[in-house]
Amino acid sequence: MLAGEPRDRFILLGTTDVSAAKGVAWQGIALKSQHHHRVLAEGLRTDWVELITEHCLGVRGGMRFAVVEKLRQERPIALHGTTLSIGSIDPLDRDYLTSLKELIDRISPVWVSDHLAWASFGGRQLDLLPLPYTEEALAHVVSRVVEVQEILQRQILLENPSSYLDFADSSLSEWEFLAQVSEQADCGILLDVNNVFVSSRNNGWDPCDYLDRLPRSRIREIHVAGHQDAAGLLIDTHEGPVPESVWGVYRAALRRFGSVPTIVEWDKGVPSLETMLVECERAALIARQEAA
Amino acid sequence: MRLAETQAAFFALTFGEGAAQLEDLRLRETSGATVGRRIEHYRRANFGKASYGLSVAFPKTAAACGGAGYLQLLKDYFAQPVRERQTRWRLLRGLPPFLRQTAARWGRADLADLAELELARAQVAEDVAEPIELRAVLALGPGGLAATRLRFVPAVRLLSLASDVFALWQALEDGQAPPTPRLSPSAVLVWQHRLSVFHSPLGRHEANALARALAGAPLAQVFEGFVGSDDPGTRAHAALVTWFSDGLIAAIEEPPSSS
Repeated sequence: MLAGEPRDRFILLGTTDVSAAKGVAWQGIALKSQHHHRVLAEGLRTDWVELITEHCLGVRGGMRFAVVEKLRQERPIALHGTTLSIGSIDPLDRDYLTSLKELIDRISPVWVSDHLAWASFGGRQLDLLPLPYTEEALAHVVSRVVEVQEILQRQILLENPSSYLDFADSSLSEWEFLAQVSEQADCGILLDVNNVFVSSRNNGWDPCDYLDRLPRSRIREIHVAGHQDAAGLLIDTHEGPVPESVWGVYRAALRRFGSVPTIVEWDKGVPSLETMLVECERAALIARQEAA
Repeated sequence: MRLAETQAAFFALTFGEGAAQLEDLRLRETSGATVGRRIEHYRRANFGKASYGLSVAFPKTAAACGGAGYLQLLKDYFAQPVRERQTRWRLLRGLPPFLRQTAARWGRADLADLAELELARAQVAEDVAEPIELRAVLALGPGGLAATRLRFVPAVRLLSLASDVFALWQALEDGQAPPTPRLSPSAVLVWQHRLSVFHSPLGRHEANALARALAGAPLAQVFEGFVGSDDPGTRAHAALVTWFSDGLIAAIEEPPSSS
């Protein structure tokens, strides 16, 4: 739906009613600051767009504020965070959640997402670190998702992580854990098909098993991105074009879950806006083929 | 193994704080990379995540340190005890004071000032800058000018630095080797106008006047900042016009009418 006006776009403007964001074939990009000038001057030719939550929190003016203001009036926005730290034993960061609620109230995103991971310890900010998939961890994450959704007064999405190891203590598979969290906490799933591929290769899982065991009704958004092979590990680098292997998982996901709004991520070695849009067009083409 | 124990051991192994052995994590052996290699990935990722925001906000500070020096600076900075939950802005705001406290380590007495300038630029880039035009002054009532106060846009910072960072900034901008630090008190104005960020050195008198204006002093007291300069009237007039044309002024507040 990149050419012309998307049919569903304007239903969502200025609302947090997410019903129109379900089952549509929106294609978009995770916007990079390198493209802010272009977007402000010329607009953005995608159905929707994703912004990194932490880059928008507390921003009151300047280029980023102007870009967000322009975009939110023109198309649906998704917010994607990295510091919610939903699996951490650290207390939830109330200041962060208060700021996030203010941002949500201002820009009315269609989806608000973060990762199934822990990203802080003793107050230190860390990368997205893996959870053991135990009953204790499940109860911990579910209770925190419920609390976050109450504070934000809306449903959130959790993204499957890129994982590089597997805990012997895990009693559930990653997909079982994610499915259980989404059902028990009543949250949605942001399915990163690159992460499915990367984690499956790194841990000896079958990507088809992964997709087959996720609850169809919980998949709200898909991410596609690139990865690199580094000394025996696949690393989720978000660099370079989406590999054919990941497009293959994307096709399989669309066959299983139907039309799902999709975002192309490219965070390192950020290319021209045109190159990112080419990836977006590729996702749109595949979505049309799979819908036919 | 409890979740808290797992996270404590994982943190110790990937951040280097606390004691833990790889075996403590009870990782499943999988074909391909060793578990040590897998933990090493997370160790690098933790460092990369923490350093990314700093490297974006402080590119010139990083360049002034050089590759190895900057790496050491990051390691030392991240080894500091955490007193409040880390956020992007807390990490950024903490760097200039850390560099002041540890100045002897870095071989450049002006490094903290450079970082303070970069921090101010990052801050004003995300602040509100909705200025009024100079012609607003024309609307002032007769006789009210001396008691009038200026309200500045939030996207303005006036820095008092211990060194002259302009030569350093320019050298780094031109890709040249950093010059020898020159300790000399200087005032620097940092502001955002029309979505671009600027900084400029200020003379002693204008810095004095601007500090008074930012503190909310009436214009009569602001203009006293130029006393002692050559031709204070002309300089005060020129500064006021420049403050407006550079987009620093958000409002002019006249004193309440006595009638």
